Amino acid sequence: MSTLTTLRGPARVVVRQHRWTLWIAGGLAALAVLVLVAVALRSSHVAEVFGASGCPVDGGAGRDCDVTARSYLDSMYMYRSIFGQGAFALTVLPVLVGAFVAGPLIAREMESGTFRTAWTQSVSPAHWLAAKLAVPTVLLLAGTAVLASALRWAQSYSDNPYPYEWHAALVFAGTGILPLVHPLFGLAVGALTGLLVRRTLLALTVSGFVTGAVVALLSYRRGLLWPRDTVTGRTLDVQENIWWVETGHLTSGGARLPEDLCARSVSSADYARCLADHDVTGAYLDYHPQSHFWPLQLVETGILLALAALALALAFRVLRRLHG
Amino acid sequence: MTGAAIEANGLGMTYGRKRGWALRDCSFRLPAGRVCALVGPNGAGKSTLLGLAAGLLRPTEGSLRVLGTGPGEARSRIAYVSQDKPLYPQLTVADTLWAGAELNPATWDREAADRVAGPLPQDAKVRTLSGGQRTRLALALALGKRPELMLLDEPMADLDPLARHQLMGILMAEAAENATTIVMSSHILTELEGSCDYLLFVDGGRVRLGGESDDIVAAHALVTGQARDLAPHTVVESRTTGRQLTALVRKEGPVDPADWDVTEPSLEELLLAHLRSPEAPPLLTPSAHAREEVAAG
Amino acid sequence: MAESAAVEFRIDRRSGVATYLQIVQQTKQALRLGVLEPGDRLPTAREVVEATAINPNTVLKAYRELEREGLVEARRGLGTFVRRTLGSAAVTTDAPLRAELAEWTRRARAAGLDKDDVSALFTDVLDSTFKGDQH
Repeated sequence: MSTLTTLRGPARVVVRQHRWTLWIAGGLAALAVLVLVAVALRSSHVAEVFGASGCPVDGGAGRDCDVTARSYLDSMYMYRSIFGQGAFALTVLPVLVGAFVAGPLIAREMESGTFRTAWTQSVSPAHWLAAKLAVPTVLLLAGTAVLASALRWAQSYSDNPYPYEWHAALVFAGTGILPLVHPLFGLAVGALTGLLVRRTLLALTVSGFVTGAVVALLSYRRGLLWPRDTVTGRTLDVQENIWWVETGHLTSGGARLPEDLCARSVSSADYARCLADHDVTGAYLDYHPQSHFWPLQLVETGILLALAALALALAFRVLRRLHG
Repeated sequence: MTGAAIEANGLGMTYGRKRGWALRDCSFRLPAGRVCALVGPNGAGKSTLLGLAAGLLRPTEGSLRVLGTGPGEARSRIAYVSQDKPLYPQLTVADTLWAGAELNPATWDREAADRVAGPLPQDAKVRTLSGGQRTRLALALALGKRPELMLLDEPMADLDPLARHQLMGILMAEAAENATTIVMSSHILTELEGSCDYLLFVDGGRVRLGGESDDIVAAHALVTGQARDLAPHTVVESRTTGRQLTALVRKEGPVDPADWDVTEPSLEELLLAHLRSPEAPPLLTPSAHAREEVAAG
Repeated sequence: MAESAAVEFRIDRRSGVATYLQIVQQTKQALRLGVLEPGDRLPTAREVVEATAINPNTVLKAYRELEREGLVEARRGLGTFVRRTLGSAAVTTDAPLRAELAEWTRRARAAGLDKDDVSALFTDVLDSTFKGDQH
């Protein structure tokens, strides 16, 4: 019997067991897509109307035009924040997934003892776990792919004057391939935590916390995942659309000093003296050009997949060690 | 000679260094086709033994063969019902049986399951069932699998006498028809006595008696007479009142009826005597002896 | 197979009589009373255990015992059938011995004995009369 046929029965049972969760998750995803489409349509309509009014965005064409422009920009800013929240939802999804897999999906079976019933059917514990994870994996990949595409489409369609920058912490994990990778990581952490903790609520909390911590750490340290480009000079001559990772002062000897070195100077003369005192002769900037988008995405993907694989290997090992 | 349903060699299990041994040095053999009572006080190791045989636990030491192979490999030929009858509370009775069919596609016998689950409300959620109904459903799941070996941990504990009798009848019919080996644990012997022809008595993590119930009983005698040495018989338990001695002995040859008033003990008297005398040596009838060479294989 | 069995066994766990012996005795009793006649099928082990929850081997042991005594025979795949009857004229309903016993029982009752007393008395006499020739 091929693995796929072996998994079909248990997978169907998993779906039946959690059908309400799946219905709710599916419903929320469909709702999110609908909201995104509606906002995109509305936003492009507002932009069209504003375009037809002939008023300039930056004002100076009379009071009426200023009001029109203000109201247009207010609306656009609100739409932007809706997109931002959508991206943020994709970013926190892995935390929810990790919590769900660890708690209701796995630890609850351990806590209530139903694993004894499950494992004494004609399905080995390893197959049982595989089926338990295969179902959410497939659904998550499909669901997040749809959501991420809808988000991308909505953002490009809405013609927003306030687009998120490509590197914004809020949206980076919701773009590219990361929205597919993050939930898989949550799933793997959830599997391991559920098997180790074996208490629904505790496993849910621990797994959510661990996944959340890793996702937060990555978004905080993301700039270090790929070698940055650097510019130095008396003044910084920089390209458009880059990600400023770190900037500061440079001494004649090439030493880097923090940007706020002379922040307490009270006057510009004072400030210049302060810089001179520290032998500051220029400035530096470490940055990622937009071309680093994919390298950054891929490195993060690699890290998360490696961690996920490790967690899964451990989970199956725990299963084999304890239960033969 | 039929094969062994379960064969243990030096089997030991501990749930953690600090918690001591749940099972230790267990060597025995259960021939296929028997209905075996696994009895012993609470905490004796009955559930551990069943969990090991069901492939839910991995032994700390020693080996265990089930239906001629490892417990994991025999999974599809074993049915196991654990003490608390864990079933998915959010599924209905019908859903649960459907899941049984999905999870045992090769062996599932819907009729066998329905025979037991028939009286249950099919659309009721498992969480709304009474203890007895859950037991019935768990047994339906086990019987629907058409197993060669059934491992039932305290199967009758939640049942009223009528349901107990009926379900026991169904289990016995299964054994009669398909020669299914059945192991049932209980700390109450009388629950199982009439239904079982084989006995494993576990106490303090060890197997103290094993074999055909009739042979085990026949190997012992309840003797009363003037206090004197009972050699060569092994005294399991003895009590002296004045000049009179009452003893339960394991016979080494015939007991002289001229010296002693000899009666056959009931199985229950036998177990009680052993419980009160933890130092009495274990007894395994020939069919219950583990064959050493199997351990190597 | 469609034909149902002619007797049903009732097992008393507390009687102190071995279960297989109860089946043997009840079969003999049915033979004596004419409830079972040659050619009748005894219930299968499955039927017996389903109704009584006793161990199948116990039923088989009882049937082997009856077979050894020549009362029944097992026909492979068909079941166990009665070969000969134990019925003697003495046991049929209108036989004189039965009438005498019935008359004696009535007198015992009139003398103030209840059912248990009568039963105990009868068993006692039975035991002392047949002492020594138990099988």
